Amino acid sequence: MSDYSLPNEFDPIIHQPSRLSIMAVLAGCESADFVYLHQATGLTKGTLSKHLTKLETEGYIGITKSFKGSYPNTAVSLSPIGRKAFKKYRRQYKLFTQLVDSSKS
Amino acid sequence: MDLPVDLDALEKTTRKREFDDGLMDYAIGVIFLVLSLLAWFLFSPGGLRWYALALTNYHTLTMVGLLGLAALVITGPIGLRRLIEYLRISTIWKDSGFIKPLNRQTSWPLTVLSVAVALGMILYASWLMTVGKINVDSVLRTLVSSSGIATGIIYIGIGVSLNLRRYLTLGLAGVMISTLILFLTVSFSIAWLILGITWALLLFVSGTCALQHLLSLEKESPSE
Repeated sequence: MSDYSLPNEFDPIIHQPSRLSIMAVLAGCESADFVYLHQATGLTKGTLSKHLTKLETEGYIGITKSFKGSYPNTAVSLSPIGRKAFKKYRRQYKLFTQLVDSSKS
Repeated sequence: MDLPVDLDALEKTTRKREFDDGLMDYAIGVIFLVLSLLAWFLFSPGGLRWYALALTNYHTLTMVGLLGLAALVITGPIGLRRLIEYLRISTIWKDSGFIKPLNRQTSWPLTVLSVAVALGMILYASWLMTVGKINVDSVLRTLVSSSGIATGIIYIGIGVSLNLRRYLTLGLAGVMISTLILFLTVSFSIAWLILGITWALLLFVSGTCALQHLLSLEKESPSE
């Protein structure tokens, strides 16, 4: 149980539900555009933008703006730090839930 | 105790997106078909005779042709990938958003397992030949069969990890057909042709099923 951490040691950047959704979607691909993230997470565009900015500030994601034809396109990807942080979060949360479930039984 | 967000579901849905439209199946089917036709021609008695004649009488032209063929084999998959991207950007994913799929969809253990199975089969067949149990044709057929079985294992693995029943079925069918090749008394070149054509057919069917399903879903819920 060397990886076990108390709940208040979970990464507070990732632990927020909206940002958690974003990280989970990005973990399943190399990059996703804003349209896909908006649909997959169910967040409003404003909320999504706000959380993307936060994640980018923390260095967990990279945002690339380009054009596909004449349409602007925003591609978002997990940074190596972000991918590592998300993997760690998942591991910690899995251990935490196992501990809680085993203490109930 | 559950998170407010289903992480597995979100990640898997995104990973599956690469396979939902069936385009990857078509692309890999084309690659199987082209490579098997090439292998059939190059390893057939007629093909070998033609190659020897061409090399003797038109050496430079043949070498240029072979280099061109090698370039096509290497760049072909890249070209197909670009074509798929273009089709997705312009039509299939136009309204639902674009993702760049993961560079690796298979885990390292799965890849190692499929390679180990293939190598194991080839080594075992080679040993059987050295002790006189089977002839060289059987070893060559094992090489073909093991390639198909390794591919089948990969598809079964992807099917299990992403809950894609279509790939489970494809993988199992592919493994069965590839195993049958071991027992056919056909030449090396014909074995490659059978492998390539059957895998191509399986993949085209799989791709068509996926595309039909996707189009029917879009008909039911047209984008606003």
